[in-house]
Amino acid sequence: MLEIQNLYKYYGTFAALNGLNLTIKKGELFGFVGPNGAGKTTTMRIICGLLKADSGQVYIDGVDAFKQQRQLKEKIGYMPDFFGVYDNLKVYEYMDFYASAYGLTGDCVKRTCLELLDRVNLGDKASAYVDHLSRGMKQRLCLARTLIHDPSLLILDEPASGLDPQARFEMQEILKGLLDLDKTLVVSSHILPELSRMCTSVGVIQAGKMVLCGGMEEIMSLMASANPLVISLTDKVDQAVEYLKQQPLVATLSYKDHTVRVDFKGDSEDEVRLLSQMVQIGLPVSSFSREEGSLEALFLQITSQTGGGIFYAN
Amino acid sequence: MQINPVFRKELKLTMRSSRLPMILLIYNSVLAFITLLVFYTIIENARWTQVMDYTAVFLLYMITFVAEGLLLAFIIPALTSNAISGERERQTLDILLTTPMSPFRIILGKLMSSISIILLLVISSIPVLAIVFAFGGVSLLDVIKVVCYLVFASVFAGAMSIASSARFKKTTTSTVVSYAGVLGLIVGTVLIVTLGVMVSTVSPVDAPSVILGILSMILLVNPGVTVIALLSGQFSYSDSFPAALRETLNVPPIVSEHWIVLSIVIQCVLLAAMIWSASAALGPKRR
Repeated sequence: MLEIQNLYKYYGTFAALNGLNLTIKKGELFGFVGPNGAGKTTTMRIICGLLKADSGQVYIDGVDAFKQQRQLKEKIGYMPDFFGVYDNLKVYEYMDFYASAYGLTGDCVKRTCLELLDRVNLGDKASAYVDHLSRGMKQRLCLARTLIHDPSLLILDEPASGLDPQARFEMQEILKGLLDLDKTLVVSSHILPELSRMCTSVGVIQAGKMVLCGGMEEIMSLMASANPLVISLTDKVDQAVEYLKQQPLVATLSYKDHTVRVDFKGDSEDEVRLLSQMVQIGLPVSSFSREEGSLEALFLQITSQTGGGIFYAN
Repeated sequence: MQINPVFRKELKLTMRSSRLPMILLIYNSVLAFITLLVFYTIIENARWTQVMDYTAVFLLYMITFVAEGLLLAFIIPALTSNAISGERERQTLDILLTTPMSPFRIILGKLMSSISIILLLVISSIPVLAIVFAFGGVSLLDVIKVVCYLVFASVFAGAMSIASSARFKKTTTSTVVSYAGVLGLIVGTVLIVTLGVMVSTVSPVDAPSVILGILSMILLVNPGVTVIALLSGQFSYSDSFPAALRETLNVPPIVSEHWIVLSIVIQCVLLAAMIWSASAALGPKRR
């Protein structure tokens, strides 16, 4: 659906994008993650044709984004990180204006506008003035606006920024619902727990380069393998600690009450072996698992490192 | 055919704003005050002298339309200098630019909207303008010609303001540049030519007067001069304006004789250049 090849963008001597490569498959909800100034918004603005790249290629469904601007605009729905509304327009008129900007006319426009407003839970606000809406409602209205021309790719820059938890949850549910409409979504956000809950794939950008990209589940399981083993016992904790200290794959460990956290260097087969040996020597293990990985941990781990090549988890 | 969406939206927003009735009220009040002042001065003079001076009719005609032109020149930049910068400040421009509407169509929509306001201002002032018919001697066709040119000149000023608002990020800067542009066209060009006349007067050789003739052609871009040329041509001493250009400013006869047509053509070219410049400013950014 979206293919970015060797994208470079310089602001003076500063490389905002430094050979960015990215491929997103159709139907994905792609979480675009990176620290401030990493190049997320620049990438999104280039994809949408608002900014010129210095070099590189962007293809959307086979359409060359730099050469076929008109076709590109038909395929993309863009929601910027900061946006305004027209104060003296009503919600329905706002939608109708953008529908006409996309060349949509006739009776179907009214139906489409009302359907989209219903989808973002603004059906009852169609006659309200846009400036009377709350921040969350405006965000949802802007999302409905991006869907007006039925685009196949949605580029959403921080769609949940500045929203309260309830509004964020609502937005999250709406975005998940869009996957049923066969849309591909690229969502940038700083609210990582939410991204990890809704995204099907994720990419981490740092200093204008993708440093990690892949399916959410694969990345999370890879992350988990680097996390400590958490072993809970009903008794004999001291004996378990002594036993674990002797194991060559155990780097460090710590324990509190009935739980032992072990920095274990082995793979899943080594984990099986360790568990069976512990059970064999009579240690009462009640639970044995790797600590769950989180996108924040991954993000912090990646962004605290410098350099490094791209890693694709597929 | 689909109406330009930006034009439709702008029209809706303008008509709903409380600013427009205020502008209409102020514009017509000032125009009526100036026109009625001249009108009653003429009547008073006639009453005391028992003589109706017919040159006063021309004076009334001239003052009415010059006042209308100046008011439009004053109002148009205020109304249009936020056309694009306002969208930028409101953070609606990026969204607009991601639609399939070309920058040219967006600019055209803004320009059409400003034309509609200009027409509204001019049409609303018709009852005031009708005072020029009070004494006779002025034909309806003459009035229509001047009004049409004033509308064109306002569109010209509007396009300049829209180009400025597309080029500059902030409305404040855009407004200042728009007013500077209008002032430069109306007053600046006259100052340049006045300076040329002064230099030419003190120069002992003939060459400066040739240069003065060429320099004076800068007045072709001045809508104020075009209005004066148009108004002068409508009264009996129709040759006076081309003659003044030839004798005082040494303008070549071919130019002075076709001054109005030439100035409108040049202003049309400038208008097109401004629309192009505004559209170009909305293209994908390098930065």
